[in-house]
Amino acid sequence: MEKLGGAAKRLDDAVFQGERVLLLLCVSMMTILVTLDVLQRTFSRPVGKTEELLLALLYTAPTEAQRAFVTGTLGPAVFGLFSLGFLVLAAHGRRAMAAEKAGQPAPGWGPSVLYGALTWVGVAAFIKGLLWQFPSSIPGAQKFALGFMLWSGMLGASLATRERRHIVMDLVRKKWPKAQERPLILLSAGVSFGFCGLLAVLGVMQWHEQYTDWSSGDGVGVYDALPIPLWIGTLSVPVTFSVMALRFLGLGVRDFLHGPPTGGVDAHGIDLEALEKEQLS
Amino acid sequence: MSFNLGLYLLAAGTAAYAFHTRRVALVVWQGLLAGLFFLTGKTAFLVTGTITAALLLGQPLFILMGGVGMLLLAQVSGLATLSEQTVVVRKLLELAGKEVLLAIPFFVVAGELMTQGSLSRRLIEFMKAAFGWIPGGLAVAAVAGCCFFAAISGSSPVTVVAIGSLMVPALVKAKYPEGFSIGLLTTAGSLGILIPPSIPMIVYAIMVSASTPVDPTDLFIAGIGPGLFIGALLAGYSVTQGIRFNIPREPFSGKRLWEATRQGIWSLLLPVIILGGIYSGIFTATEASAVSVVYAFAVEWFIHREMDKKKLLSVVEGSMTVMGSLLVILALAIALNYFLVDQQVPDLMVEWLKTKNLSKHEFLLVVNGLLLVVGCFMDIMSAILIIAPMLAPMADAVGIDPVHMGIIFIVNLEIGYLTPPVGLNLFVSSSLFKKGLGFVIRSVLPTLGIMLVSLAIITWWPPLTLSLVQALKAKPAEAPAPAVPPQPGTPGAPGVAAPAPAEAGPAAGDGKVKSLEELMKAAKQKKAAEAGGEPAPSEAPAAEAAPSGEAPRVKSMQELMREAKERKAQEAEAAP
Repeated sequence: MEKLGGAAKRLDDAVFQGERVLLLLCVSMMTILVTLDVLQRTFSRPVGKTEELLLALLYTAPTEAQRAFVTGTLGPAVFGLFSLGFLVLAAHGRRAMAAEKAGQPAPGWGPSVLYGALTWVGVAAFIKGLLWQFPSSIPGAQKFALGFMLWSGMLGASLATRERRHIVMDLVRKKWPKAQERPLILLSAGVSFGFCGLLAVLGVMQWHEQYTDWSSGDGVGVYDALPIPLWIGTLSVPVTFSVMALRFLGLGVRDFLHGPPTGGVDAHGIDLEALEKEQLS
Repeated sequence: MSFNLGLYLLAAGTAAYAFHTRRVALVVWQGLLAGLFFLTGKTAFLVTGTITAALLLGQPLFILMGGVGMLLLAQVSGLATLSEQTVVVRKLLELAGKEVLLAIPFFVVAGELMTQGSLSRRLIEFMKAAFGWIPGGLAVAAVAGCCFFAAISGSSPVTVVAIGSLMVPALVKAKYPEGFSIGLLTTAGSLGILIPPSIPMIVYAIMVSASTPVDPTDLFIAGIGPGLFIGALLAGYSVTQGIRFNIPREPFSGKRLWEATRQGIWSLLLPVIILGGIYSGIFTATEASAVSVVYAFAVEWFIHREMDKKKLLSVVEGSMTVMGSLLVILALAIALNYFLVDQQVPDLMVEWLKTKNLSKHEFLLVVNGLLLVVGCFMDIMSAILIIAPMLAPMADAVGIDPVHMGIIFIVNLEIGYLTPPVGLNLFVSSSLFKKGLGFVIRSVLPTLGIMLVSLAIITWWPPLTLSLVQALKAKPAEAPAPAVPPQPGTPGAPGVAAPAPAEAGPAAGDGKVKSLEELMKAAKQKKAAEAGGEPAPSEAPAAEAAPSGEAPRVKSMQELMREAKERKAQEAEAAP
């Protein structure tokens, strides 16, 4: 039994490591996609917000020449200077904080200006490259991001099971009689296992339907205007609910054999005393 | 009927007694459940049994909601086979296809980055320096920190976690009672959905766009006044408690304030970037959430240098655990909502309300009562998805400004975060601070009273909500609509489909998804065109399929309801 438990734990740890890597990938990808979309849209505007503001401030009824001057020269120059100033401040802030931590005197502004300017050139080159690569829009950015969100959310639910972080209706559970606690834990885990297993089965059925549509090869079962099959996103449902079912069962068996974690069912969470030490000492 | 009721009461009473005696509770309870199932076989009993079983066994909330939803779908809606029950998975996938949902993980990640990095600590330092010198200053700083953090995170539970985990230990250490500290932070954290940006406000704007178009930016601006007002009341309460408990005060130091500002400037800039970006139209609220992640990451990694690979992995893991546990609840709540809509439960509730011929003030009173009850039993997203599209047209008809109605709705559901049995902040605090749910509930009672008073003031004093919107938009307030019920044939009237929210679906032709701003503009144009008696260019018959090559149009809740009614009527006719 101990051997089996050890093997299950090792397997769970391996799955957990895989989940963490996948999560990092999904969250990074969805953040990058949406941010690139914002950058692309913001910098591909024929008249930017800075130019709009300057036009409104400088002229009541701008002529074509005035408009061309603001949008072609003044606006980009003002925005460029503002962003350069922001990056120089950021660079100086970074150096100042590093110096404070190391107990050194405050740094000078010269290197900060240089670092800020270099960063500015790097960012400008990146945005130019982005606009060159995607002149009108980044196709499917939002949809890809939503796909990554589905996977990351479902993986997060699976992690929540492992970490016992699901929101539990535990008003009655806390009053379980000690003598019957372990059988009740096992029963409760069995119910959770059954429900998640049922959802995994339903997920497989839905996934199979989409996979069959897609494999027919006539263009159905894919995202609008994108050659990405829908079943890739749907796959997250059966996979994660299966893992959740097994985790609920595993935790139930573990608690049945060894008792619930010290401190009872709500042993997880933040310890006030530990926090006090960490934050205030 | 009375026989069944008697059986239910007997079963519940016996089960409670058996449980209390702690002897053969499980066996007696299961025996009763099985016995009564064979005796009655009623759906209501099954539902009661499922809820009772889930509570007794301490099941996760998502299993309780999903179990009840699937049971009702099988027993009442007739979706009894496995293949029919895949509707639950389809609803989950539909939910995951909503762009606005992206904002939730982004705001959660941004909040976690700030919590694990040093942004929230610097923010708190600034608040302490600014407010620490007044009586109850640390508690006031906690409330101010919640208000400020709310302007970053857009989520109430995240605000409780981010500020509460820092401030509750500090308050306890400063000799504030534990109950007061936890109650204050649990309540102040709920401001996360009232002070912009707010995820529920975006969802609300989308849900009511078919009948009473509301610009989410207007809702955001309107939320500032009530948010700060509630924050001020909570701060006032903190001051009185500071005096009552004779908590020592820190002397004011201009040098300390300057130092805290210098150290925290990059944290303090975050709301300016988020809100400035949204209001200037540079990005939508969802995009703002992604930008906030990038900004928080850049500040923590490159400037503060408080983040490393290990912490980053921990941020992703921690935030997605929160997101995942919320996503499954939300997804299974949507399945339960699908059942409620299918059975026209909200429609029946609103129909009942309409028969009472209420005045504006009576209507507000009833609506507040209804929403408070709804807030107790439903999570905020579900309540918005189900109730908002029904109530908004009625409120418009009795002369309540749609933006004001939106804020009343949000404040009511904000209170719902603090009321059992489905008060999410209560659960978060209970888990976060390792305190029993009963203790947390008792702790929030005084601040809950403050919230109720605030609700009354926000409800019956519209300028608190609307004056900033009107001032910023520099336009006169819209004249209230006449206090008459909707005329037959007008949108919002019973049995009449509201104009199809073509604006809520993907734009035809170019395949580019419209921004929320564009959607709202289109909705307003359409409404104006209708008022002029001309159909809007984009208007199409409600049930008409999208032309070939175009993405299918998203149907409004009213359309879905009408179709459900028609389908039910046809089925009734076809039945022998």
